[in-house]
Amino acid sequence: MDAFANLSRTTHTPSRSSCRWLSLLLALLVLFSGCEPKKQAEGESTGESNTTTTSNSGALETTASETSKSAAPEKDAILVARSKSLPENPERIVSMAPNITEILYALDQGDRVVGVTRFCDWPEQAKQKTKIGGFIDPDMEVILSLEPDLVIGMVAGDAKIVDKLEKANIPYAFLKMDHFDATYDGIAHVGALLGGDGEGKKKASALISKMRQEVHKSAAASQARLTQQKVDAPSALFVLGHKPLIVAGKGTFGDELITLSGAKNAAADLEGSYPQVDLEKLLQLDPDVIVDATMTPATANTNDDFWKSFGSLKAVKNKRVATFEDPSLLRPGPRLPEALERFSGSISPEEK
Amino acid sequence: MFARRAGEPLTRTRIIAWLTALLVVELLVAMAALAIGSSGALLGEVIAWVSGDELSATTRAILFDARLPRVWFAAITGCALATSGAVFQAVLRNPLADPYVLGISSGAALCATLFLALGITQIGGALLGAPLFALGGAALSLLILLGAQRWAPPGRDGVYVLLLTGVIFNAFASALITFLKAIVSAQKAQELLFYLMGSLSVEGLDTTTMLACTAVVSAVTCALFWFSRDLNLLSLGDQDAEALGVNARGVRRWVVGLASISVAVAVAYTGLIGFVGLVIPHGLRLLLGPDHRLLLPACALGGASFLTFCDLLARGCFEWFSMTLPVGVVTSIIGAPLFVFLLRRSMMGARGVR
Repeated sequence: MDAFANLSRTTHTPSRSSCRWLSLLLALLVLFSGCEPKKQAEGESTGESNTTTTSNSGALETTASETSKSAAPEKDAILVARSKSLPENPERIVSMAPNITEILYALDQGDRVVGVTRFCDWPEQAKQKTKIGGFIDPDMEVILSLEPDLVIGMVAGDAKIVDKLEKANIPYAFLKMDHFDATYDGIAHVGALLGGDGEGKKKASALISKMRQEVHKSAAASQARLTQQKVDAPSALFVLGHKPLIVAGKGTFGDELITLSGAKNAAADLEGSYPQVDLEKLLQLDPDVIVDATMTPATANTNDDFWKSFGSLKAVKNKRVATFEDPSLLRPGPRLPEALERFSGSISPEEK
Repeated sequence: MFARRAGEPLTRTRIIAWLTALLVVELLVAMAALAIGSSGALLGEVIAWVSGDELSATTRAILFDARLPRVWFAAITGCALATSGAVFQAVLRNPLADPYVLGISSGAALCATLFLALGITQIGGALLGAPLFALGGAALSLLILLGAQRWAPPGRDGVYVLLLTGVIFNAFASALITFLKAIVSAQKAQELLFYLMGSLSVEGLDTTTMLACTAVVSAVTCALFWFSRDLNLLSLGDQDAEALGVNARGVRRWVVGLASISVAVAVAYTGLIGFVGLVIPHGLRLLLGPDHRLLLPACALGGASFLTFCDLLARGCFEWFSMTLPVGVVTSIIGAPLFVFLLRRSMMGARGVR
């Protein structure tokens, strides 16, 4: 009565049926691979993104990626993917990343922004705009309903978004900004995308030179303080996650902040952009200063509790663990000078 | 009332009546899903379009570029999951069997995740690699299941071996997926999470791929329907089935394999969507009786309606969450209580309580 009762007595030959199986699978493979060449041709505007990190605020901070084959002539390290045609004077812009929103507002183009992600929280006015979903899960329908003439985003978001925009015939540009200079270039690119009579470009270059100046000033001031206190380049660790412990490695924004402040990155020799560090490694690195960007002001107390358990660390003993209170400042955008100002304050505090 | 009707003999009229009713339901749900979405309702526009009016460019784009692909794919995926669920339940003679529980889905998901995690995916790419890997994963879990069947003892225990192998493989695959999520970057992990929760954001798929998926799923559904008499006999038990001239083992291999193919196609593009393969076959079996000649096509239509409806809810909630919910979350939230309800209904029916 039971299923399989006859298993041992079946007259069935397994080899023949295996053959049938294989042929069926093969047929399906052929069916699928038949569609492939076309797909590859479409995928010309691709950039391979390797590593990225998100802060606890949900905003994507930096991306360290490489561009592979460059098919589009105007594509470079900053502008990774763009549609074949871009509007001369875009009036309805959808921003697909918090830092892009910040840049657009910093260039006084807030009026032209029609859609933002649910993570875009700066400036205040940006929160009033229509939300198109998230960074990784943008909603195509809402984007379409906004009738945008340009979508600007960062490269590491939704992997299928280019296909979707391409199919919907919406002009797009995806940028990659993973260090200070790239951010300046990125802002310039956004300015250029705004088109018009070159006003965007002008505003962008004004913003960039202002940022450069401020960055230079903060860096110089911090290095001067260190010299004054006769401290020779302290080693610093920039912590971006607690469980697991993630720190900023070489070639990242964090690394650049550390160097600009006049310190050296304790994690510079570790593999990868955002290496995970275990307790043992942390004790071995034993940095002079720890800057912790995992917490919001509201939870700063738990932050202290977390580091208390690492009592043997130099930085903890000397009370040199600083909380970087607003991780959203680390977005590659117009507020980077402010980020450096605050960061260098933790590296080289004023003497009391 | 339904249970009594479910016992009625299967006549041609009854089949046609039920299938027509289900088709009407599916069409209505599909229309509603086209009319309502994350950017608001377009009910008037849809009605105008049906009655032959011209639409504005944006409305056209929303309807045909954003909503139609989702509705279409929801129907295909729902059809694939529900029919294969029904088939697995019949073949394994176990009410808990469905592609999700048996590990076919997670096998497919594991390999698709592996593909995504390896970083072959690029902006715009990766639409065809994932399905191929998913197919491989489904084939792998199928091979493990069939391997277990080879050394399983005859009798009731054999079914348990098969089911337990599936459950254990499911757990194993989940562990490997978690491992993959742990070693990739935070950004990628989030992407994988979205994929694994099941999502119908397939707007970027080109028409060829969509049609290919449709063709595969429809072909598999028709093929399964062709086996429906054998499936009826199989549910009597292998011995009786063999006595009536069914090659039980051969039929089992064919239907399980066929069902896995359509599951692989569905999983590759939409991730893990649970409960469709459980509640739809069970609910319809309660409603229509266990005859697969009616049950299978009914599951195809019912599964399509159910998933389209869940996706409609997922998109309709956009305003509150500023995000489209992963459809897998919606199917589980609706599916789990519904399954318990159906279970209770069928238990009461069995005891003759009304």
